[in-house]
Amino acid sequence: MATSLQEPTFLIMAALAAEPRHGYGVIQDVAELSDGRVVLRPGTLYGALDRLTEQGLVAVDREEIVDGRLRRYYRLTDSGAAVLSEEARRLATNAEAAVARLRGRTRAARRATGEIA
Amino acid sequence: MSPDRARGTLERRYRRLLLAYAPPYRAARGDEIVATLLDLAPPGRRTPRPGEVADLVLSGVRQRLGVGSIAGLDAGFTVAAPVALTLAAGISAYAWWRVEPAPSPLGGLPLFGEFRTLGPIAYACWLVAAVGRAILRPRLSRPLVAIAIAATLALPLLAPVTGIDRPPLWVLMALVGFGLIAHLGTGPRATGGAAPSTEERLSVAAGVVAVAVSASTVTLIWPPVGGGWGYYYQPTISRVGVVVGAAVASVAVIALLRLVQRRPAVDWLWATVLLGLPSGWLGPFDTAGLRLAADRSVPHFGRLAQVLLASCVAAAAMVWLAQRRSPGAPARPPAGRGSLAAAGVAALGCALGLAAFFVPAAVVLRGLPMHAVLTVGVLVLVGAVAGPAPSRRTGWGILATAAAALAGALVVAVYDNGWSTTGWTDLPHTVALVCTVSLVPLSACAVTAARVLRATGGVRAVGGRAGATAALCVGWLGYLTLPYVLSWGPVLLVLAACLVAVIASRRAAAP
Repeated sequence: MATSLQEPTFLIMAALAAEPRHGYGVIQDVAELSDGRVVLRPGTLYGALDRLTEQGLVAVDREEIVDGRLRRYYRLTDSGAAVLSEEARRLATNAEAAVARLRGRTRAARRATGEIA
Repeated sequence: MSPDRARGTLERRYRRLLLAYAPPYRAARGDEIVATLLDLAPPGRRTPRPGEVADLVLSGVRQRLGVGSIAGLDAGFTVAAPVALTLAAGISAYAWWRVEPAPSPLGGLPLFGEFRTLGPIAYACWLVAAVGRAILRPRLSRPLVAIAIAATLALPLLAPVTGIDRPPLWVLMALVGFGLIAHLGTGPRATGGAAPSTEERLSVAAGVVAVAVSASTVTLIWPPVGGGWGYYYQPTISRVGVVVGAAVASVAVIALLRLVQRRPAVDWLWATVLLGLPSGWLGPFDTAGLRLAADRSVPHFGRLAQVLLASCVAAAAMVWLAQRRSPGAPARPPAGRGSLAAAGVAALGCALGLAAFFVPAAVVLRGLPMHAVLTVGVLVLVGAVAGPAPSRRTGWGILATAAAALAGALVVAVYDNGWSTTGWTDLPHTVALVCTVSLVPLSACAVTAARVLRATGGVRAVGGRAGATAALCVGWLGYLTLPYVLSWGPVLLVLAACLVAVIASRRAAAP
């Protein structure tokens, strides 16, 4: 996948990066990763998981029954990890470039202030 | 109520909402989704929250339609959302500013304060929604769009109660269409609740002013007959349509530029056709000159026909774009003999439904206009050429489509009769207008035949039938529309944009 992921998709994949998680776990982790900014609803989450599973980026890891409720765990596949890694690298490069430009702006502002002073 | 009992009630209600999903999906995923919902619910809750209801119903419908696997659709909504909200609020600002203030007295009609209609109620909501988009987080601004949609839908219900007029339905329908795009494009699926950029916030605010001022300028340059700002129906729709058409064309140009720069463009192509649908409801020029009193073989081709056909072109562009699947998604079976037969069933069903309307009309009129007979004849011919195999299933399909066509015919007839079911004043005109219902199955047949031709590569057994079906449908539609193509005005811009999206989609990379 040569192009950028949408933010919710990126966060779902990031939530599954370290270990397999079930739906509730993914929702909690996405909220934590995004500092509470992105709160997924179950319909949206399972739609995204279906799409990622179809694309081979996510796979079902195992199933458990806890308190009579079905918990299906999902894991990131190798190709999913590769896509996430590429996207993370792309975002990091963009962020570094932006920070570098902002540093330049701060220096220029200081110079301007010095001249005025 | 005990916690266990409350839990049981909540679970039962969640499971009822899961009926939105297809049964096989429910069987495979239902328990898991309900478990997650119950994990998220605080103890003691017995009723799903409105947000959960909307999420499950919408997700279920998406699952049934298979839209989750369409490449670029979600991203297309995200791109189209700010444009759609800008257009809705801009149209509202223009109508409130230029069209609503009533010269007094207005023929004795009751006014809404100083205004002609109840429109300012909805217009205020759209402007608040646009301001909300500019200054609030999506979680707070999105409900404002829902409120504006609800207020717009409420006007046709309020009008008979208050006795005060409402804006024309075409304007209200376009506002609701743009609002739905804005709402869906700012949902958790699109952005995950992330805030829009400062640039986008400013663009929405500036865009609303630009749309209102542009529409006003167009009206000044091209004043309505009789001068002034005219009344809603003709001047507003066509003048606003010029601006809306230009906006959709601009989105198509951006998509093309991205293609030239070898950047992902499918989201922009989707945005073009999504915006193209409600935009097609605005803009046909004055249709008064289109009455064809002399030529009795052609049905009256007025605004309804133009709007129906523009909607069909936008829908066909969506079907074409939807052929692109997300990478890894299972491919859909290619269109073949079965698809063509299904199109034939639709044509035959529509012929039967229209005939069911025309027969009693013929009794009252003591005869039937030639164009009505020709319309039914063309539909039967298309159905025969597409050639559904005779079977019980075909019969039921024809009956179901006939019922839908008859319902459509009745709606159009009541619409033509001023939303009244009594006192039919101009039945010949109503019969002519009902003929335009046939545009929908004929367009669907043309698209299906084109898809079959593409999929089979013109294989003689299927390709011959598909080619003949396409030729019949396109020929009849062209015969109806081409002589009046200039009267489409700004809608031509929208249609050109949709066609560009279809042609360019082959070269576009998915987002």
